[in-house]
Parts: sequence; structure tokens; C-alpha cells
Amino acid sequence: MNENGKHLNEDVLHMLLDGELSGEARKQAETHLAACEACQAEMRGLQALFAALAELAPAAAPDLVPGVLARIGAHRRAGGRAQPRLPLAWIGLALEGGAALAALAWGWAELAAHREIAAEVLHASALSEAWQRTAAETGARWSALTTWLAGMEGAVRAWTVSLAPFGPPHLSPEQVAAVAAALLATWLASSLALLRRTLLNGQAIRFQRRH
Amino acid sequence: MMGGDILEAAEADLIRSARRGDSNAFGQLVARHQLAAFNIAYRLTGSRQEAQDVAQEAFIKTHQALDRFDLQRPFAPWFTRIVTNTALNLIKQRRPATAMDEEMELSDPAPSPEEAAIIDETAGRLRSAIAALPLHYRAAIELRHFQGLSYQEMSEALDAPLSDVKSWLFRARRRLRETLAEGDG
Repeated sequence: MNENGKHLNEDVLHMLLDGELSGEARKQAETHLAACEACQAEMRGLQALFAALAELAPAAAPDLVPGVLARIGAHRRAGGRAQPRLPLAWIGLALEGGAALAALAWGWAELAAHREIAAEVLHASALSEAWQRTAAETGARWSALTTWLAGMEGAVRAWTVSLAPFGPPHLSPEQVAAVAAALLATWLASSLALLRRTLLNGQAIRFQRRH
Repeated sequence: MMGGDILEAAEADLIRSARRGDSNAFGQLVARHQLAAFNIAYRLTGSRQEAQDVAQEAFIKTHQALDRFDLQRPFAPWFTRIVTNTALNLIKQRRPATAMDEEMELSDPAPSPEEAAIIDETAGRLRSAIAALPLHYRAAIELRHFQGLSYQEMSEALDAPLSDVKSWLFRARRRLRETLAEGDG
């Protein structure tokens, strides 16, 4: 017992054994222990438990390496860490989208500047008729899309018209449509892939914050 | 440089390599920590299959989070935290109605008959007593006695106040001592 006639609080014994008691508190506890048989007995009981726990052998673990590496490989193939980091990917997409928009804006500007030529070319385009026919057949649901596609075709076409003095002869309507479709498909695919990665990354970041 | 420092420096090199996409380096990290990961998960979930799933999931999460790991700090407590939380989340999902401190009857994580044949009676009683502890008492025993975490590290791993963690640990020990005493008596 100490000078107040009290034994050590059991929590103090736990902290002493765990090495979580320091300074004056530790000195006081050790001094008390040295003189108190009851606290020494309590301490021995705890030490016996510590020893029994230390003797428990770990369970044999399966080899996790192949499974973990296979999952990481699958994650990478699905667009995970092997891809550029997200900020870089967003910058890439912004550049890609910016270039596409700049090209389209230029096309629209050229369309306005060379209205007569563009109108003539557009009028001759079998595809423009096809867009209009599709819009009429599909009704309001798809009319916005077909109108947009027709506009995009016009922009790309006007763009190629404006380039004609400096480069190769005019593209055929099919080639113009292919260029427009490729631009659109590439940008949409990049956007969807990046959106998916952003969502996955968001999950990882939320996990990080929780831990 | 002390032995532990050398080990940690080697581990930091592995982490740097893994960050650059070196699968072999991450494989070595997994090999180093899979025994601890599996045992944490096994003692918390009480199931070998779930323990394997938890450990594997924890390594995947670790890989995804590797860029944000502070190389100035030791890897093991950080990784232990991920494993522990992955296991606790799985247990909560498995038992959505179970409160954190509620007493639980877990499936017995006692060893297989082959293993049981070679362990002594005290160890068997102790394993059963640990398995019968409430979840957070069990987690406290696991982190302190089997993973060697400090009170502060346990508090961070379990995302709980220091006072709660100490309370869980001390109460868990009291129960285990009672169990052992009953067996001796």
C-alpha cells in the first residue's frame, strides 16, 4: 500500500506493463510496487496473461502474393494505376477537348466567312440529306442529336473547305463524316474512361480519409 | 544504422519501386506482411476464408493508397490500420444490427482439428476466450499483443479516442484473466 493506504489502480499496472507510463507516474508506481505484495501479485497475474498471449502461435497464412498481384494487374488493365495520374489525365482530356472545340469553332467561323461555298458544298452533301431524313423519321427524341451531328458535319466540311487552298483537295462527304465520327467517338470514349477513373479514385480517396 | 532502420529503409525502397509500378517490389511487400495481415483478419473475423479475403482486399487498398503513404513513418502501423478497418467493415456488413460494443458470439476461430491436436489446453482456452470477446475488445488485444501497437497507434487504427481504446484493452485483459483463472480452478 502507498502512504495513503491505497493499492495501485489496476489501469496503472496495465500501463506500466505496456510501457505507456513515464516520468513521475512511472517512478511512483515502481516505488509502490517494490513495497506492496498485493500489487506485485496482481502484476504477476497480468504478466502471466501477457506470457500466455505471447506464446500463441500465429495461424499459418496462405500465399497471398499471386492473388494480390493478379488483381492489381487486372485493375491496371481496367485503367487503374498504370494510366497517367488523374490530374494529368484531366489536362490531357482538356487539351483534347479544347483542340476539338477550337477546330469546330474555326469550322463555324469559316462556315460564316465562306457561307456561299459552304452552302453549296452542304447542299451537295448526301449525308446532310440523310441527317435531315433521320431527324424526320426519328421524331423529336433524336432530333437534337441529328441536328447537332448535321451541324458538326457542316463545321468539319467548312473547315476542310477553308483548308483547300493550302492542302489536299476537298474530302469526300464520307471522309468528312468519318473524321467527324472519329472526333466524336474518341472524345466520348476518353470522357467516359476518365469519368470512370474519377469515380474509382473518389472511392479510394474516401477510403483514405476514413483510414 | 540499427537493424530496424535497415529493414525500414529496405521497405521504403520497396514502396518507392512499387509506386513506380514495380509489381515484384509490391509482391515482396505482400510476402513480408501477409502473415500479420492474415492473422489480424483471422482473429477478428474468425474465419479462414474471410481472413484471406480481408487480407487480399487490404493489400489492394494499400497498393491504391501507396502514393499517399508518408515514407518518413513506419509502414506496419499504417498497414495494420488498413487491415483492421477492412476486417471491421466486413464484420459490420455481415452483422449490420450489431453495435460496436455489443457482445458477440463469433464463429469459432479455433484451429483445425490437426492444429488443435498440437496446442496445449491453456492456449486453446485462451484462443476461445479471445474469440468470445466483444469485437472491439478483441481488436484491442490483437493490435496491442499481436501487432505491438502503442495506445496512440491503436487509437488511430480504430479511429477511437485513446480513453476508449485503453478501456477496451484493460477490460479485455480482465476477461481473459478470468477465463484462464476459471480453467485453473
